[in-house]
Amino acid sequence: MVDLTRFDDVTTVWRCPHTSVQIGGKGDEHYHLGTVIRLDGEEHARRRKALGVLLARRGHAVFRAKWLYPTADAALDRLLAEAGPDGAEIEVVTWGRRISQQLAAAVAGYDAGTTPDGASKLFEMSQVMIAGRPSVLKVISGGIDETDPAHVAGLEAKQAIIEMFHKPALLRREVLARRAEAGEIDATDLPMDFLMLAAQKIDPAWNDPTQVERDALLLMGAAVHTTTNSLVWALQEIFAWLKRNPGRADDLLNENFVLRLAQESLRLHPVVPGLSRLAMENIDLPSGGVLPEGTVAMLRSGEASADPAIFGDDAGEFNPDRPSPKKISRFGLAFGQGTHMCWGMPLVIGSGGIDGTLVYLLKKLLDAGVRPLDEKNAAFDLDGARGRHEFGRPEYRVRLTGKPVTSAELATELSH
Amino acid sequence: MAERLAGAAKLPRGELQRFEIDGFPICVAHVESGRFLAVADTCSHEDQSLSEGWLDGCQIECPRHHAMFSMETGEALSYPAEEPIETFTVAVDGDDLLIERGAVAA
Repeated sequence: MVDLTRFDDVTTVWRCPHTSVQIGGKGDEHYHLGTVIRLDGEEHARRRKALGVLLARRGHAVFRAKWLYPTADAALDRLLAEAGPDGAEIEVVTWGRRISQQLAAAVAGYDAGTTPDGASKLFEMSQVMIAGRPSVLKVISGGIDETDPAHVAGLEAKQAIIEMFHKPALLRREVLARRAEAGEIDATDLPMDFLMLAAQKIDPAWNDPTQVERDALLLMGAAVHTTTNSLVWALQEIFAWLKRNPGRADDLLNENFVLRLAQESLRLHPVVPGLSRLAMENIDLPSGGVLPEGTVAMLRSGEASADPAIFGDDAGEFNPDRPSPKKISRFGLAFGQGTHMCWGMPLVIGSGGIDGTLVYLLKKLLDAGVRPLDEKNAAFDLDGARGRHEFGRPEYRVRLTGKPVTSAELATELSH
Repeated sequence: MAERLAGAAKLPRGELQRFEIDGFPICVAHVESGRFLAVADTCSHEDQSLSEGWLDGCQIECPRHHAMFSMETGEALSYPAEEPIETFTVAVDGDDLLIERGAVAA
């Protein structure tokens, strides 16, 4: 395996048509085989198009109206309703995961996972499943140990999720699909989620129930830690930025500026260590080397997104006022590039950026006056965490005062 | 010089269709107002046919990564597209459309 960290090398490989994501092997059959992250060519295009209905403008509008806004609003309203005289204290990692799990369950169609309690249960079970899921390295190296207790527990958890969440939801949608076909209900009244697409066999691959399971579990799990971690990183960066710029607290009321904050945070804090691609032929790299055919390249998006050659000498610093390099997104390579660009990107950042999950959650928290509880949070080297993957804090506590903080209040707070 | 697409004006309202002119793929849309619009069929972000995507008013959405383009100006309207696409002037002649290369938005 070859690590690539330069922006030009990483993007060259990402955009190269002579690479493959079919880096599967023993162990993949339980989780990723045949999913959108393991398909190439026409199959991949067909799957993306089938799933794309959920993310197209209408699908995304349904997601926002039916799930994102009500779920986030209710979660925040509950907190503020229980707030004491000093506001409401929350541990953002747990709070964010529960919301993200509800939203992910909604996209997948796991009805029972869309309530706070159901999402908590689903999250618990999916953690055991994920802990047992083999890494890319293990699959490539053939290092799966089927007697490993974590592997066994992971498969048991997977099966439990299927029984408790997947099968009842799929059955319901299969009935709805038959009724729609018979003209008993209007197709526009059908749920807009993955299991509904699967029940209608929009992609022929979904005639295989085990493929439907793998696809649903991928969608259900992919957005939880990623969205939550991005939220926590963004909050930390915003607080650090506010300390340096207390006179600009009012900028946080401008959603386009909040988007810039979110984008800059995404650029500097990748949610995965890297993504792998198999070279199907020799690939010339801009750095002068060659990626030999048959080599797996690990594309380090965090390092590449902090490449000074692209983002300037201060590339490793958090600066939401940074001019955007020409033809390069402000969030760098946070969502990858090329044909396998992150499927969930439209959900996270929306169509213009401001109507996606990340900015909406940030805005809700900022409008509620979110402030860090430094005295309750462990020390953390934020500067040292930029431009590479870090798992981040296991917990992060903040306080919500109920109204946006003003520059004057912030100046007072910082002077103490 | 305009190229004739025979029968293209029969495209139902609200739909997209791919055509080729001298091997160059174009996407024709019959928008709800009754107008016909045409753009280059290949998304400027990735090698994906836009006519397989979705029409939303006078905007077209790429089915691969959901980049939006204006079919009137060719402008890239959303992530992840950064570059515009070429537009074509369209005239109706009976059941046919007359297509002429237009411009690429700045």
